Amino acid sequence: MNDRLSSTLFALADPTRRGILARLTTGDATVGELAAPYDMSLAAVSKHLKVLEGAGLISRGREAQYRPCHLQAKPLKAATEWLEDFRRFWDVNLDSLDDYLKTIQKKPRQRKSR
Amino acid sequence: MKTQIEIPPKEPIIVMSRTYDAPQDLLWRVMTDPAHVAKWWGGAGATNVISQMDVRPGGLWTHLMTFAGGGEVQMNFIFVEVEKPSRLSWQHTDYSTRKSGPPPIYVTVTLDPLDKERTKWTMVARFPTLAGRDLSVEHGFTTPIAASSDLLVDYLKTAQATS
Repeated sequence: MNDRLSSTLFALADPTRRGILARLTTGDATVGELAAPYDMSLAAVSKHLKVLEGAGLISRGREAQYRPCHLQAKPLKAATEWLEDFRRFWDVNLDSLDDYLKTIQKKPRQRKSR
Repeated sequence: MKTQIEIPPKEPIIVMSRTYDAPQDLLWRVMTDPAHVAKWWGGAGATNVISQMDVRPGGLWTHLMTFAGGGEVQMNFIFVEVEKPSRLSWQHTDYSTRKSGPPPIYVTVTLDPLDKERTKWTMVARFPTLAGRDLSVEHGFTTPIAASSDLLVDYLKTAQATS
């Protein structure tokens, strides 16, 4: 069993963690820099970073105070693509269902006279 | 994002949920009547030929979906649980016997009424094993669907090409 892929998927399922990874595609960053766009504590962001580190998606610098985060792109490709495809398929399907429900619920109301 | 997604690390499932402004019984009909299903499944531009949709435990759901770009997906499902109007599950007909290709999925959808006009839709997609879920990652979810234009995915493709 490939636990790595499972933990990659888990790590990618969270929007904050996806945001952090997207930020890291533009270059290394410290915890403080990564936390800036979010309305959450440094401790909460650190928890997300631990998940990402555990999944092998990021690595951290050695210096105790600074410890910049660095993106490890390799394990990401297959997992991201699969998850994006899965999500896209169901997002499209569920949006389509929403539109259809709106259409069919509108018609009878217009015709009804009660 | 209207759709919530959860991927637990220890269970071979993916959970998605969403709330619809529609009563539970209408949502049930739209999901189980092939005349309705053909109208929305696959999204705009998709066409659906549903040759069988026998909504009872053990009944078959045979469905050819063609995307706007021409890609086709043949779906051969069998219904497992049919509890009108709240719970519907189906799986690939070869869920327990498939030896190769993309891993099969067992899908359960529950419809929870929040009030008279709103219903929570929850889907649990279950893979035979954790390894199975991971294997489907390696195979790609479904090839006919266009590759993602997500920033991260694009970046990773570039990164791979240049490294």
